[in-house]
Amino acid sequence: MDAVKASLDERDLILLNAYLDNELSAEERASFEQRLARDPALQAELRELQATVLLLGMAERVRAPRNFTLDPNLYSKPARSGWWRLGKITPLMPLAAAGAGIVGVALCIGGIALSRLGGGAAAPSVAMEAAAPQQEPAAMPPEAPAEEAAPEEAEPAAETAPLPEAFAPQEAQPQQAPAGAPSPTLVAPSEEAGGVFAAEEASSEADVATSPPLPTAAGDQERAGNAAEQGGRVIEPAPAQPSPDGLFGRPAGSPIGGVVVAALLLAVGLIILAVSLLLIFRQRGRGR
Amino acid sequence: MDEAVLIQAAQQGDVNAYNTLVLHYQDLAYNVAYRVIGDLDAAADATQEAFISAYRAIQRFRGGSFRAWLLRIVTNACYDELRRRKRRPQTSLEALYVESESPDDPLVSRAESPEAYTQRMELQAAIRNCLEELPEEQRVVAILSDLEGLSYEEIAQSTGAALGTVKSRLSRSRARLRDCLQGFEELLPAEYRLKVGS
Repeated sequence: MDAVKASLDERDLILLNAYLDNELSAEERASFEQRLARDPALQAELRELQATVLLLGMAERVRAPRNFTLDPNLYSKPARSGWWRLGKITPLMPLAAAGAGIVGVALCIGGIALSRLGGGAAAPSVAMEAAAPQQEPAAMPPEAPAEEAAPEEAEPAAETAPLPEAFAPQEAQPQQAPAGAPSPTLVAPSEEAGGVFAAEEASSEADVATSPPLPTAAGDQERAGNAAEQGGRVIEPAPAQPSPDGLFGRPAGSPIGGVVVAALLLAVGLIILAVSLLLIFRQRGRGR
Repeated sequence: MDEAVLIQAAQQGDVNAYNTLVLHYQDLAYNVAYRVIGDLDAAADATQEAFISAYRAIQRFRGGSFRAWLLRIVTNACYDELRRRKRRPQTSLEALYVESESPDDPLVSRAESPEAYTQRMELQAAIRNCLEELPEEQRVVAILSDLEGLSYEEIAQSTGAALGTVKSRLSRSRARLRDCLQGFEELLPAEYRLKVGS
């Protein structure tokens, strides 16, 4: 018998076990049965394997000595709160937040770039628009830097441009010259701010010129009238004077203020982006 | 209740749903642990550890045979227990044999004659001892196949081995078990003797 067993190699034994466990395909099984019918060694081995499996199947089962259930009080998952829960509402939430953050950052960067470009390019056009009203400084004091407010290249145009008759009697009324001509109240700070600031002032005033008249125009007119009575010198309200580079001392739409706001928005966008990326990586980590 | 529904609920943190699965599989897990480790108390500890580990890892279950997935965790817990026991041996095989004959043994049945009981216990001891002598990996494959009736595919999943490796291990383990059980031949009833023609 041992000699017969020796004739069976490991592959034969594996086939024999697979046949016994019904793990052969139909073709393999048919082929193996043909071989089994001719090979007494295989038949003997098969009988011994069958007896072994039968014996092992008689191993008695034991019953679990206790229940292995888990205590819900100990193993319930604690509900997480705050930002971590956002990522669990839906898997798309972090992606949506990331997209919003990216769009926000792009808008902020674009806004900053545009404000920078607009600050440089708007000055000449403002000067062109300012050409006609530049002549009203008849009512302006000699020290009022109307020329400083507009770039020098605008001056020839100002000299050659005919003065509209409708504007002639109203030279002393700045609210009637909105086409870029700086009102005395706006020009006065630029005198302290210097030449670099003047171009920015001009661009911001161009924005003002294209906008509808503000409700405060009557007040401006009244102040202008007072200025005319005082020899063209305008007495500015105290808060607007001392800080030409501060937020409150600047007119609405100032590029500096816009840059600050854009920078704040950029920071918020970056924070949203960072939080959403954190949530995404956390979810992927859990997926593993 | 449907097993898939229970698994999904358990993945969402429903401990009661998971406990339903535990009650369904605990006998299987405990038997595998007992046969692999060879000690009732250690098997209970390993089974409990396995169910706790399975609950913590159930988020990573991605479908397929839950039984095979669970048994892989059980066998890993058994390997851990065997390693601990190798570092600090506690119970000899002889003690295991005596232990199983104690009145509290779950294998004991009061409804049979003393002779039948003795014969049955000898067979159980022979099987247990022969399983103990197998290398761990072959033992696990033999238990999963011949005691628990898993398919080759499920055994491959449960052990993390390739299908060919499972076939090879099973073939070798049966050959060794056959030789081992022949050594206990005198103890076995005639109908269980393995020698062909004996």
